[in-house]
Amino acid sequence: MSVKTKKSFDITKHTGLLASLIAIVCGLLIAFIILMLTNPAKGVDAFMTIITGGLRMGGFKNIGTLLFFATPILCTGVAMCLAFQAGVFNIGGPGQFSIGAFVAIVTSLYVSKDLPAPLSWMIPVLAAMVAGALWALIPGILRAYFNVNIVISTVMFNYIEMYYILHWISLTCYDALKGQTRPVPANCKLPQLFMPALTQNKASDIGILIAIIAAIIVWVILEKTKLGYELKACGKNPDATRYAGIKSKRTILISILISGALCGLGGALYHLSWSGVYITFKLGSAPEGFTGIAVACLANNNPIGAIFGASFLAYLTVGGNYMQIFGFQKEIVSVITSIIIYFSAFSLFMRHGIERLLLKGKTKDANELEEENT
Amino acid sequence: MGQLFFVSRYFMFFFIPLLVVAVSAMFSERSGIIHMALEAVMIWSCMWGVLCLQWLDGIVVGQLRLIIALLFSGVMGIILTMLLGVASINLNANQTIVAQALNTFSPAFCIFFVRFLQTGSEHINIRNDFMINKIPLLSDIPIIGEMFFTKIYITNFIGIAIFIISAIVINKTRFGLRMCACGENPHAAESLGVNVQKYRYAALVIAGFIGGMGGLMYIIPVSTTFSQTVNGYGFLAMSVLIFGQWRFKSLIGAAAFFALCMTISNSYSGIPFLAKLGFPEAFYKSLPFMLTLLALVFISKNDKAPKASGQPYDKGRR
Repeated sequence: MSVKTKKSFDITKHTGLLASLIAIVCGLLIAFIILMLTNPAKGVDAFMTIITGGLRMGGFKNIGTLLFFATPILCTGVAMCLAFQAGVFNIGGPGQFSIGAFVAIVTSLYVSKDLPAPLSWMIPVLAAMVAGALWALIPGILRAYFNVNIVISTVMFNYIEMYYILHWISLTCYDALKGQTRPVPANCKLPQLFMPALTQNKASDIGILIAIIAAIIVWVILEKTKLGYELKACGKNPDATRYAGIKSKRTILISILISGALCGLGGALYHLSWSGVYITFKLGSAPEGFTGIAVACLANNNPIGAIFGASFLAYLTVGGNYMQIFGFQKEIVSVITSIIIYFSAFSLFMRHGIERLLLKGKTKDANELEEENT
Repeated sequence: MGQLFFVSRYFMFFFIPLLVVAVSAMFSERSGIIHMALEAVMIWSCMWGVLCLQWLDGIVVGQLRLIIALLFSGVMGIILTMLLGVASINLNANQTIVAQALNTFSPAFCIFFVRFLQTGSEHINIRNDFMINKIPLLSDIPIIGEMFFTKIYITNFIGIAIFIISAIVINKTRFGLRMCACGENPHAAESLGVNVQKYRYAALVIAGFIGGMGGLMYIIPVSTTFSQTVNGYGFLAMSVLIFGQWRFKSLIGAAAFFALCMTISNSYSGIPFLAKLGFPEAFYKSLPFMLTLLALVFISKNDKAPKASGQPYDKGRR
């Protein structure tokens, strides 16, 4: 009897994971079909490169690249986890991410260049978090006090950011020759510590560690504090929480502030890294912000799960970067990401379906057992 | 005077697609499904429409080429909208997340596909010979003729026709009223024998068709290349719907307001008065989005959204 209860406990616990796996499999399958339809001759090779390329093509060095790609999307993913749990659909990830990146670059160039070591990179990171939070705060205020649809307002802010960031870059840190932002001073980049030795990649730094710490902190906030309880309650049923005496407006503001700060952190960690990325002077929004949504979906809005979700999507991105060899575009990874989001959207439905299937199997087993006994 | 004609022509280029796509959103929202994926539908069907224009080049001449492409992009719009439909009607999905998935999918797939077709370049060129320079009689009306009936596109008339027909369908026909009931109170509708799921599907088919055509309507007058973006138009159309309070009459005013913003943002350098003000380009470019937020602040406090909009329909509830 005790075995039985343990079994059912396990099933309900893991349906979320199972649903995410189904979403991943569906995403990969549809990508495979698209690849085969567009170019049957090279489709299989290209697909195998997406799946195994992260390890096969570049060897161990790719682990460093993987962590580098995982860092920003882990930050935005955790940001989305928190916002979604609070029922705030923060689609403004790209905007908050780019604002964070821009502010980090500018503060490193103008403020912290001559400061001693820990301050020189901490100040830009903190400034980026503040900037991201402030950029997210306005849609939050509009949502809390004026009932403006948060999806629309955050998207509008993405577009405003898209146009204004080019203007601001051209005023402050534009490198006209290369058509991108000026490089960040070396002493403002994130410390590398033991990371290059660990990953065998010269460009590795502690960005991923900071992102993981952020994820753990958010997990603690959500699961172990009163604030986290209020956020989650607000996401589940805003009316009930209001009757229970939780200030829902304050909760919305806090959740979007943290969410924006995390997106800003992602932008800072990405652009203060040793891999040398720049904001190119081209109209467009940062894809890392949207990938964060996929990370949150894969992780079922659990910040710890986001670590694995981000690693997986970064792994696909590393493989996707080899697509050019086969005459395909790396956008296929975004296609996979979007399909994963799509299937995650009805993960609740899938989970009920899985539970029903499993329970059906179980009752069958029980019936058979009974028959055997008699 | 020449300036006025220039601006009014530009205005129509933005006004018509905004109106059409807002009507598309209207169908979906009134039936109870939030259509945040308009941007995706527009990009996706615009790509197919533009490709169709390329295929037909040399085979079909004149306006017929545009009309066939419009119909084709409408059909493709239905296909993408059905992804939203299946997820939100049958699978009780979170409609906002599904829409976000589509919004990510659409540009990524289009870049992937177009680069594959054209080996590298992501811009599709459009050979545009659809401009109607003069309409007999109508163009000769003083001022108005010059403003609205010269150098225009056939999409202007199609757009207005879509708007009028949709208004009649939603407000006057049995189908439209039942559809609205599904968006306001699906359980009451069901109890009176209305098949909620069927009506929502029907509404989404119409929304997809109109939205798909809207995508192509947007790109044809304003651009000669398509590069996998419609510049946030889907979301602006959504704001038009909210600003118009889900009513057809106010929709015209709302669309006109946003079209005016778009006109200013796109043609300010041709208007000496605005060019002299000395704001950066970014200000004018982001003006429509900033004004959208401002407009939503004033209107959203007590909005008249369909009550069941955005909630998965669960027969068992109450």
